[in-house]
Amino acid sequence: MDSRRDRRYFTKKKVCRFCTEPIEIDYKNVDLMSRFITDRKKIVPRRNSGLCAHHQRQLSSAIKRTRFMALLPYTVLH
Amino acid sequence: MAVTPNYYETLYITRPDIQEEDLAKIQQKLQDSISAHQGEIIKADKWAERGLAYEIQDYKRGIYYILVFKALPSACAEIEKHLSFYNTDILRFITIKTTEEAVNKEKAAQEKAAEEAANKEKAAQEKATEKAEAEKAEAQKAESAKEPAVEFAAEVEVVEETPEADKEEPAVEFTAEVEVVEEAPEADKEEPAVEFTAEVEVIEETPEADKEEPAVEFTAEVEVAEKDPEADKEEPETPQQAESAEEEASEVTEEEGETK
Repeated sequence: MDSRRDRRYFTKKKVCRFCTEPIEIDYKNVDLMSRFITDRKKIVPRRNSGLCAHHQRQLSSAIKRTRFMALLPYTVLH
Repeated sequence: MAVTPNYYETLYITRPDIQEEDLAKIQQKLQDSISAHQGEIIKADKWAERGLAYEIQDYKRGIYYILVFKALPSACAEIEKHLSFYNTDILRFITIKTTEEAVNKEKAAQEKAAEEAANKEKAAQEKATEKAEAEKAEAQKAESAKEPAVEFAAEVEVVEETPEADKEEPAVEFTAEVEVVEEAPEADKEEPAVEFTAEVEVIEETPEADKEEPAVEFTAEVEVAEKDPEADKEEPETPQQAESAEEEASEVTEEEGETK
């Protein structure tokens, strides 16, 4: 199973960015938050963001705060 | 168990046309409620003025204020009460519990940023003086060349600052114009009409000229008047060039597509 998967596509194992780099998750850091939302302004899932559970949870709540303060949109329909 | 003071951070958005008195009144109330709960204000700043991601009470812009303080938890409730009372002036507010370390880190970062800003200012001032000198020299060049044709070439040089313009400065008006036409399609691929590109350039030129040197402003206006008829004259000749430029542009895009 594993060998088959390897043959299909080669993927580097992602390591959580916030574990490796000294970056604070801050809801006021709009540039950082906007990197973790999709084109349709959804929060990027963990399988794509590559974050660990702890930081993904922190990030998602931070993005929700950012949205509440009108720094990021909730949808593209506004 | 005794209640200990915590660190909090409040961010609130006021409407952009808020009266200064009202804002001062609100901020005074916040200050009072913090000091009433054994608290101290660590930071009270204007954070930003920016467009909102979506409209709140029909406002498209807002002014963000940040308030970092250390107080008992009961202060938090009071602050939120005050902020929600003035809900016509305060569009949104959020209070978040932070840690002492985060506050200290931020302080250190701020001091660093202040130092860097001071250094940058120095560098910027030096650069500004250099620029001013360079502009002066260019302005003198433009003045010394009294013929309108050469003046136009000099203008191009000022705006674009390309080395090619330098070389062709003494050249006749015609070549200088051709160069402009060639450059324009690269800048905006979407607009194939030569007339239109000329207009766009005029629009781009004038504000830059305004910013850089008030002396050139006058000449720039004169050239705007001159340019349009010239562009019209050359129209029968230029379409071929424009077409060739378009072809080139399309080729470039195709290549890009392939590489992708």
